[in-house]
Amino acid sequence: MSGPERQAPDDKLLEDFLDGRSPASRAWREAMRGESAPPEMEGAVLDMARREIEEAAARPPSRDRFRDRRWPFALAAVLVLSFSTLLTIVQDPAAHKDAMMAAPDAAPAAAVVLPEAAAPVAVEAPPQPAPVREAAPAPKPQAFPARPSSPASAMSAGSADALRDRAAADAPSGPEAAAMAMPAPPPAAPTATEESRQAEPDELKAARRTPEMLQQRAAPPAFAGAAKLEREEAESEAAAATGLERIRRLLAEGHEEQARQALAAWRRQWPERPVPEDLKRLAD
Amino acid sequence: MLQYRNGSMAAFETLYRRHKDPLWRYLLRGAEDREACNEMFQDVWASVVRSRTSWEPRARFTTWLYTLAHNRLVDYYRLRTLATAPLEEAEDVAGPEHESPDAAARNAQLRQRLLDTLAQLPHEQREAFLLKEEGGLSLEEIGQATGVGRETVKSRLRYALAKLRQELSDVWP
Repeated sequence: MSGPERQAPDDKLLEDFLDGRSPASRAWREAMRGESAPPEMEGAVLDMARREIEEAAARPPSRDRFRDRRWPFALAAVLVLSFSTLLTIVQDPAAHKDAMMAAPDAAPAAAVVLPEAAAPVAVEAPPQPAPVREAAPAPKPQAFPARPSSPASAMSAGSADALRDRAAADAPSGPEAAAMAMPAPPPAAPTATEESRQAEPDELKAARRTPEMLQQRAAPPAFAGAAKLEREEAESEAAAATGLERIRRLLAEGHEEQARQALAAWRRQWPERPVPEDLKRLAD
Repeated sequence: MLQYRNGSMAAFETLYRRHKDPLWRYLLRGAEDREACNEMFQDVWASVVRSRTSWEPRARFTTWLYTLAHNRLVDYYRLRTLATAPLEEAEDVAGPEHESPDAAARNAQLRQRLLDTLAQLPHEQREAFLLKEEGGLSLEEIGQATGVGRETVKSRLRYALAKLRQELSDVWP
């Protein structure tokens, strides 16, 4: 079916032409025989090429040679910048922590959920004076991704665990731990369950802590910014105490319902913290 | 071309002598104007000279050379908006001097008819024909040089050959 005898005439014509067997090709070659570029062109073009080669040879080393040597410079620059950044973080972890908190992804959803998960446990726990770790098992380390206890934890989760363990071993327990001050939690995107807490007093927000966090805060300062952290913790603890005083004042003024609501908010904020004896009747 | 890229003038001379005549004829038949052809011819070789150090062997040198020439011709067409050159403007080409007077007259007549017919073709068809005849490019290489597909090149060549055959039927059985 596809033999040469069945080919369309113009296909045969094209095939012959492509193979150089076409009469058109022969006629063309015959017609063009002896027609060539003017000789004066040759001199001009060859001179141009010769000049270009000579100029290129006389030219000083170009950017291309520099391009070959750029790699070591680039590598050195990257190393120096990385080292200086690391040094800055180690020397001033507080600044690094603030930068991390300012980042939009610094407070993932897990950090927001933390108090919700811890709250029921605290309610069921018996009001012992020092039940921090046993009575209310705090959520696991992922509960604090946005607020590392130290710069090291910001750098690696493994080192964060190590620091936390060390903090747990060294930290005072019970009332001592509760007495430790701590900074306010990181600002997180409000969720549906958290919306109601937006109206809570600042001191109650600041007082919401887990024992795990307490222990972390109790860890001996390993870096230069630890003193600042401790100062913040002390301020937060004072705020928690102020919250309790406010509840007592409401109670004394006869606003029992308001005091009850404030205590409920306080407990949500600080679920592991035992309710003082004098306010326990409001909690029941 | 690789030798020329490394600075060998002798390599450039070899390249030039191998390609100068077909390239010049391609430009002359494409432009139908000897002065413009000379100018474009120099431009194309100047491009080769300028690209010496940056040239990479991605395609055959011939394909690249005729791509430069094609682009130069396109610029020329744009300036002149040349569709089909009138027959009177076609260049008269003298035959080789060693032919007998009769043969020379016959050949000159055939040459003129061939050139006239070629000049009547749309420039895309004429260009496809010239790239094959003068540049020796394959269908794919013609497509690469002119920026069209292989089937388009085939179609253009079919039309060009059909027209040439029709006009030269007495010498093309």
